[in-house]
Amino acid sequence: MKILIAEDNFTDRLILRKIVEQQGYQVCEAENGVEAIEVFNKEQPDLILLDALMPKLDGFNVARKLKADHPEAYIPIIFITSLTETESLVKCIEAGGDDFFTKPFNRVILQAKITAFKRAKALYQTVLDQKQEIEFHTQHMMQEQQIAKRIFDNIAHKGALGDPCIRYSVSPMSVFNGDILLAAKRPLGGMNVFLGDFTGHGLSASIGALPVSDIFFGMTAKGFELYEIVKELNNRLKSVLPVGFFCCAIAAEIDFEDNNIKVWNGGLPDAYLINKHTAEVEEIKSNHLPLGIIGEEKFQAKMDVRPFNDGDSLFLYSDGVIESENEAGELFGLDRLLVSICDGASRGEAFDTVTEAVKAFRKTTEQGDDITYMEIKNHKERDVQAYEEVDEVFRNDGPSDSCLNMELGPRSLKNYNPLPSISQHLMEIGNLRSYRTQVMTIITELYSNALEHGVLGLGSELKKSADGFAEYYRQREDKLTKLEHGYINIKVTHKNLDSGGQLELIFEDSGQGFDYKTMQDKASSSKLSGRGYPLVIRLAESVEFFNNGSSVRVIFSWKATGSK
Amino acid sequence: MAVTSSNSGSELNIKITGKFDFSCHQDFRATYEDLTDKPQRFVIDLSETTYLDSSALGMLLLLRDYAGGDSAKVVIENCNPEIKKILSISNFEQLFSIS
Repeated sequence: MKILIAEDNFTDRLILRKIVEQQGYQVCEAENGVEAIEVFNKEQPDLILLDALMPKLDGFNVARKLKADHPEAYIPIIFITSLTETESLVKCIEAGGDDFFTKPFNRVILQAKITAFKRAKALYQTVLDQKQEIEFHTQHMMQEQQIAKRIFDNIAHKGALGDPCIRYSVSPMSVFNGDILLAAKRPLGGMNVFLGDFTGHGLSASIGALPVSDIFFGMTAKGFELYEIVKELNNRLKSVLPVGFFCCAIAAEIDFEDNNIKVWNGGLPDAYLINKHTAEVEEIKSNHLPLGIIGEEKFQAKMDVRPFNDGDSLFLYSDGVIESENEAGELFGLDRLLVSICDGASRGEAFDTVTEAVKAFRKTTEQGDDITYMEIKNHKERDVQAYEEVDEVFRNDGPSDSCLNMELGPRSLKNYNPLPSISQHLMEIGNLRSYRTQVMTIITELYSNALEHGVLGLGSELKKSADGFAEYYRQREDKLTKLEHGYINIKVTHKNLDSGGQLELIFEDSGQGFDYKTMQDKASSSKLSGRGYPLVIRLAESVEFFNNGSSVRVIFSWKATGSK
Repeated sequence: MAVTSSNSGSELNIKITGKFDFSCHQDFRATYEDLTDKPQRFVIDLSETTYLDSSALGMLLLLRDYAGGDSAKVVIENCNPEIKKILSISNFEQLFSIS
């Protein structure tokens, strides 16, 4: 420790030096006020013994200047003074002095004062170091979060959230509140959406969000069914999240052509299915554990299937909406939410009425970061072909002629979906990739017809009414569980041609066939609404039936993009 | 918030008074982590609990894991209707006996 002695009297200076040196400290000296400041700047002492009355610049001014020049530093100043009147002592303290020491000098008292200041200085240094460390860590953390956010944005890109059928509200930093909102178009038409709410906040929550968006987008693009995606999400989160962390979520698959919606709700508040025509609001309750809690063998990915007609919409939200507070600390609450949803239901504007209600309720309270909600609407004017998924990249790699043959027995039919792997194969074929939507639609229709109407022998009349609709899916599941015999044989052959290529699809099933003639007549009588064969007939070049309809041959031809 | 517990040796009773949230984390874990003999049965008494958030759900899962996962005997007792609703939204009745 270094101590500056600023004292104009030679004898006093000498005595002070002896006392200080006896304690083992270094000493530097100044004979007047101006010199005191110079020496201070040069030597950077830890403590100053400052004579109040000195030539050139007195001690009071020296103290003021030093404190002003070094506001952050801790420089204890002990005034040396023969002044004893209280008024002068007050002046010392006001000028920035920390203590005073009166003549005649008492060695013990001075040494005690210096020791006390040494301790205080050490304490100050510790606090200062800690403060700097905290500042450093805070800055570091902010940077890391920004980087994490950027990485996250790249992976959890907006997907199809910008689609006209979706309205949503999500905080720009929501990922650090544990909320995640995703939407992706399905290759065969329709849309998958996902709203997740992770336990915890900050980085831990966003790390969990990464595999979720990766799996969601990746599997949706490959044509996996939503229940398969939900299963995989659960498996992955179960393996990466520590016990006690999980993700409450709603996943929904919207089929705009077949006018139905499949919803899986694990741990989030009720989703609402809003019927625009009747203004009725139907709840879709959480009937599963959140994602990441239980293992594969017990996990249930069973979907809630509901009709979803033109003008209907689905409203999803996380706790943040009902937990948002106003100035009085009241919660927005479920009642207010339901009132605002019902308010907008008949006009098809539930998203707007909720937004306004939340805004009006909160008034000036700071906008919370944790409000996530969305509304997905079914618009009739949507067209299957309208998706912008056509990949314009000209590709000529991949197989030029190929044949894939796959036969699925009863055990595979129960729980295996062959479509993603067939799609994977087909998408490797140079220019066929550009026709992904059409090809996937055809294959999906052929497969579900072979399975449902062929192997399982279900009649499609059931699906025409809302009650029959649910009954149809119940029977489908029931028959599938009990299935012991049956098969579907799939043969996919393709060859590239100069101007494009041709794909031949043969689906053969173990069923009794069906009345394809009536269906063909219907298709030709321009009743093209709905899906199934009419859609296949429209998309394909030719469709031929054999064996009473239990076998079908479809030809799809395409033109190479970029070739003229 | 206060976490109190009583241990009969074979049964550990944990009671949470007030808010059951992240601030209970340390106290809640401390009730069972340092026991030399693991009790066979765990009872969580929520009669005096006013609020329960997702981190509390996480703590319950941690306890269940400690108590043996799928073979754990963890009973959640005396929930008020609000709390019961939170537990049932998350479908925790599949994992715990809730009365």
